Amino acid sequence: MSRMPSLTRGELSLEEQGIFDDIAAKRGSVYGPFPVLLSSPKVAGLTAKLGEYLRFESSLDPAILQLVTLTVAREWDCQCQWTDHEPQALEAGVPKATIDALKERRAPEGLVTDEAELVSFVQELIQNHQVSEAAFVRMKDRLGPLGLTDLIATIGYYSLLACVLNGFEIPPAFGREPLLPN
Amino acid sequence: MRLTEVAREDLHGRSQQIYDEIVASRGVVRGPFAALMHSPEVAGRAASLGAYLRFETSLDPKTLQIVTLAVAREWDCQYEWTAHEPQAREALVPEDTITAIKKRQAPEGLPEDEALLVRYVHELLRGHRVAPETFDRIQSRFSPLELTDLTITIGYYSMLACALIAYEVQPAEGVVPLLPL
Repeated sequence: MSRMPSLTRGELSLEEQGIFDDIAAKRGSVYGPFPVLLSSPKVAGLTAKLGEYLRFESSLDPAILQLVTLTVAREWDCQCQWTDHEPQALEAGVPKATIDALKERRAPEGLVTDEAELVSFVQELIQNHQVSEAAFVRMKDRLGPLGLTDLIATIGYYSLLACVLNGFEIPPAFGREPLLPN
Repeated sequence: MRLTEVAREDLHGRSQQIYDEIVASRGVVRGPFAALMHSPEVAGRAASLGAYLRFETSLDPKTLQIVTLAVAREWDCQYEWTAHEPQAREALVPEDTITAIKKRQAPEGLPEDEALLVRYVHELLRGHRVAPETFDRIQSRFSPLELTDLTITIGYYSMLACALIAYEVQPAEGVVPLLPL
């Protein structure tokens, strides 16, 4: 179970309840990292606001968004994040074979070029702390400056959440069965 | 930087407002926010989170800067390190501590309270897990509010590092890079 307390709406001040309600508005409820993040209410609100753009208003195609999120989750061995996003990825049209390749750490091998490029971009940034010139140019040409920035921000944002989810050992939301093998 | 910087004149409406808000808060749009400005909503929302973590955080300045330096070192992020080394000094982070982190020797040689912070960063960013002993110690030292601010700080400077690295953002002209790479 989580190492940190999860806050419920009833435990919050009036002002903090406003933050709670804003987080719940787009997502349907306050779950994942957010009940714990409410220990620092402004942080919870500001983090959620950034995430809201990246999840619901991003320029990225949903399948790309979910593929990138799963790749980040795999890189960080983040059970909560993976389990939350695997069904979303399937729904967005990410092929099951791709999801399995990621899950089993075989990706980008076996993936079609477009998918492989995205996975490699994420892996190179997180593992090697760099992006090669060729990979950068290809992604810039493919997504444009806005798309590329949304992509990089998505990698950064889900890495930020992974720190919280991993550090605090937050389990998958809604009692879901964990989907990421170790 | 690998992309041309977005000029204020190129932005309109809400995007230009975001630009102006960042200038109002930081004095200028540069570094990670210059990089992120190609997606103005991202730049704005990241800057808002960053403003809390810098100016309203529950953490004391020394803790904040030690953690930021440790994150910058882990990501080999020149811009972030170079910006924060002087801030760390100003926050009275000991010279030996700065050097130990810079040279990748930390947490060895650090006093226990500083070593604990660096260990927390390393365990999160390298192993993706925080050992029970480390977490117990850090949880007994920091309140839930502080520990939340601390952990999000690690995540936040990691997020900025992603942008700074991907866009190869360099320290401003005339600023000496301080991180051996």
